[in-house]
Amino acid sequence: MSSDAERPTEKRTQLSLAVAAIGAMALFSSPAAADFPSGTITYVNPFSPGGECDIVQRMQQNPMQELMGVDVVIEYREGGGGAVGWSHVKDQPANGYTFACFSIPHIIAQPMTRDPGYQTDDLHVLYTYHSTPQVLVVREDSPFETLEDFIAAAKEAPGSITVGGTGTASGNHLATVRLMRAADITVTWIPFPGSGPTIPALQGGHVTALMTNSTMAVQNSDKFRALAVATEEQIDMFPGVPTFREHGYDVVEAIYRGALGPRGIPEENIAKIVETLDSINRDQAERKTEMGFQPVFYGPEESAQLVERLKVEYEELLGELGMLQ
Amino acid sequence: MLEDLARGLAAILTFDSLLLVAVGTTVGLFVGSVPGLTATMALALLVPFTFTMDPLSGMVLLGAVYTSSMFGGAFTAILINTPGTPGAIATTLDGYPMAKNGQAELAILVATVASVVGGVLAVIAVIAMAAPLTDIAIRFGPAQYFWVAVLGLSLIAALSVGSLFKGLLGGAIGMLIGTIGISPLGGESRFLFGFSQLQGGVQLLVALIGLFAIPELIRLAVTAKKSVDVDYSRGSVKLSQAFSLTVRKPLNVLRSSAIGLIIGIIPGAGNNVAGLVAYNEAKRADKNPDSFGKGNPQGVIASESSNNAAVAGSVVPLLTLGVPGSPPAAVMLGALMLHGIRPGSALFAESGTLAYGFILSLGVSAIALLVVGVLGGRMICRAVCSVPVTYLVPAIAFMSILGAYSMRNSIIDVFIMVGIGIFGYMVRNIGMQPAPIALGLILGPIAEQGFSMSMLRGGAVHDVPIYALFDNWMSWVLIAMVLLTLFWPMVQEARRKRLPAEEDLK
Repeated sequence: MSSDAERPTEKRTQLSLAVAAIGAMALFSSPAAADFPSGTITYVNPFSPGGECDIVQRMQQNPMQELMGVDVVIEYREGGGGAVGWSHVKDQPANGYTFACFSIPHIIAQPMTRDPGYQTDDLHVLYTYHSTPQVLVVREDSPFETLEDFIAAAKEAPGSITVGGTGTASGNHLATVRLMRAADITVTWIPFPGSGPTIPALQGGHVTALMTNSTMAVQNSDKFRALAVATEEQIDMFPGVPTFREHGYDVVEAIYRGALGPRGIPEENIAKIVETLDSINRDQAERKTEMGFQPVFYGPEESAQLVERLKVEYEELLGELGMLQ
Repeated sequence: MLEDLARGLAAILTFDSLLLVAVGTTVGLFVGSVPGLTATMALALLVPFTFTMDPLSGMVLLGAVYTSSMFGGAFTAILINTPGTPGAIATTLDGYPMAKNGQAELAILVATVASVVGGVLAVIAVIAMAAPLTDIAIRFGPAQYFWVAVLGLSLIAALSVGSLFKGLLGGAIGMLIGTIGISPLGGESRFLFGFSQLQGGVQLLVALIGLFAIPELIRLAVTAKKSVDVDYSRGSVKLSQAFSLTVRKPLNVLRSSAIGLIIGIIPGAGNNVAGLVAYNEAKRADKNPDSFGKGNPQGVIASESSNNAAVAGSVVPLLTLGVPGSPPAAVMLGALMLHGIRPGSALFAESGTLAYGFILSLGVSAIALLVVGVLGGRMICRAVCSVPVTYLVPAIAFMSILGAYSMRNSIIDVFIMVGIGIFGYMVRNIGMQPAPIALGLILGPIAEQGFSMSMLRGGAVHDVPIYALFDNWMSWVLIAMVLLTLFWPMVQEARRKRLPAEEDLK
């Protein structure tokens, strides 16, 4: 083989490699905020279609495309209570083009109780857009008129009252554990595979009460009676429903949702994502409240504070349950 | 109510709505007939398009896609022995043998007619009795879920072709595969073998493609035939023939539709099981049960009428309770919420036009299947039968891989699919059928969940936890059905032996 014949090809390869490298730099490694985003954004949904992340992501998709001027694709990577999706996002290039919907306590509790393929600190919470406070509800015709009735019954026959909700070490479960601790009672926790099946379970009397999300409680307010809300103060969507704290039980628990990416995304790109999500979230706040979401507007710093605070609390709760890994 | 019904009917019999039905059923047919494209995914992708529509139009479109994709699963079930949707598993049992006997087109037409009849009957039932039907959904607690799953598993005894032992072994393997992932109650990791990807378990559809499609592809490839051994003679079968086959045994189609409707209503059991239960009942009721599994059109009718009836069934808890009866219904719930509509008992009072219009549109979609099914069915049938195997096998293999990947955008799922496929091919050669394995995979997790939750509840309300499985009359009805399913074959056998003896006496 003559080397002369090869040289031009080699050169061309080098040249195209250089062009590709520049292109790649422009796309990925250069933090130039003015350019971001210049390609398709992948917004991962670690849960199934029709869930609460899905509803919110679908609401955000169109305005996000308008504000950012690029395509936003929603990619489903469900499984393991979100773990499959988050461990995937953790390993993606940290350029701001891939981020996912998250929910707390999942991203904090999962690495504490098992190996979900990621650690909480592998993930960078960029923005938190709403919370769904926890609510204790019973059936409309239940003998428990107030939280005190419920607690008195639980004290009388420990373990005889069943409380349903979603999963184990979930927001529903942790709120129930907090209540048991604060009121010094024992109830039987019955974990359901999702929030959907809990509704007919309470209606059909298969459980005594539900510890559920504010969205579920709002949507079923015609059938269920809310006994107490796990917020710091009473909230507008449950007029007249007391908080646990008003009854003297320190139970504050909510599921928080927002967007997270891998660690190491350039600051400018984060700023752009946060700005976009914040503006959409403010526009949609009213509609989300009607659906039972409690909008919050936490940027990266406030979100990080939230995660750090809850890490300490959940470690203690899960430790007491003997669930720590 | 009548007023709302009339208004709902008027709202869907407009040009726009009918156009949406036409578009929706065509899309659904495509989605349903490609293994790996699921109704759930298609609906999720369509939801943003419904933002700009009024709520009813949006729901009409989604409902049409859902209805039609349930039906589309029958095509692949009949032609290449692969259920395009889990609901069509039972359709493979007689549909594919029919195709092998040269009745592919008849099988498709029968499936079409049965789907239309099942869909329409279920819509009528839902409109007439939404409230009492909702009651069924509420009464189902953990113990009843457990017994329904046991009933489903007992079908293995009836569905096993050849050896009962191999059938049960297949069911056990399926249940074992179903335990992979995060356990439903405690949240422990099970059988992950170090892959964090496996936390989500083995996706049902990934396993189904592996179990059904891959062995069929290997078989096609090794037979070295030029085209599929499905005889196809164009236009020789008339629609009227399919109609008369369906109407000849009205009890079969009525019974199957009722089973589909009721199982569809129970949230979580869903369309996957409806077809199999209906198939089993049809076989049991038939004078000649041995003809099932060998290409009996009544088997196709039972399966298809029930899985389409289940569509209407699954919207009952969706509309009256705000609880989706199936994964596609979950997406529709999301769409309703995005439109600011709160499903629940108040829905019929507050937005009766929407509620009735939507239910009626499912009936219109079912009728539209007749057109889509006959035209599309003939086209797909012709395509599959005339394309040489050298092209067909790679094409189906490509779609299978794409389907398995697209489920969760995961390459691991593709490996799982291929692995299960090779396993499925090997065990098929020793006489183990894919249907029991699929049944175990579907029902194992439902049974586990129901059992564990019953035990938890039993610990709270009884002295002995296991009493919780027996403290409700509905549990006893289901237990009776399980016993009947298990022992009916023996009863039949005994009768058959006695009959000739009686004749001798005369």
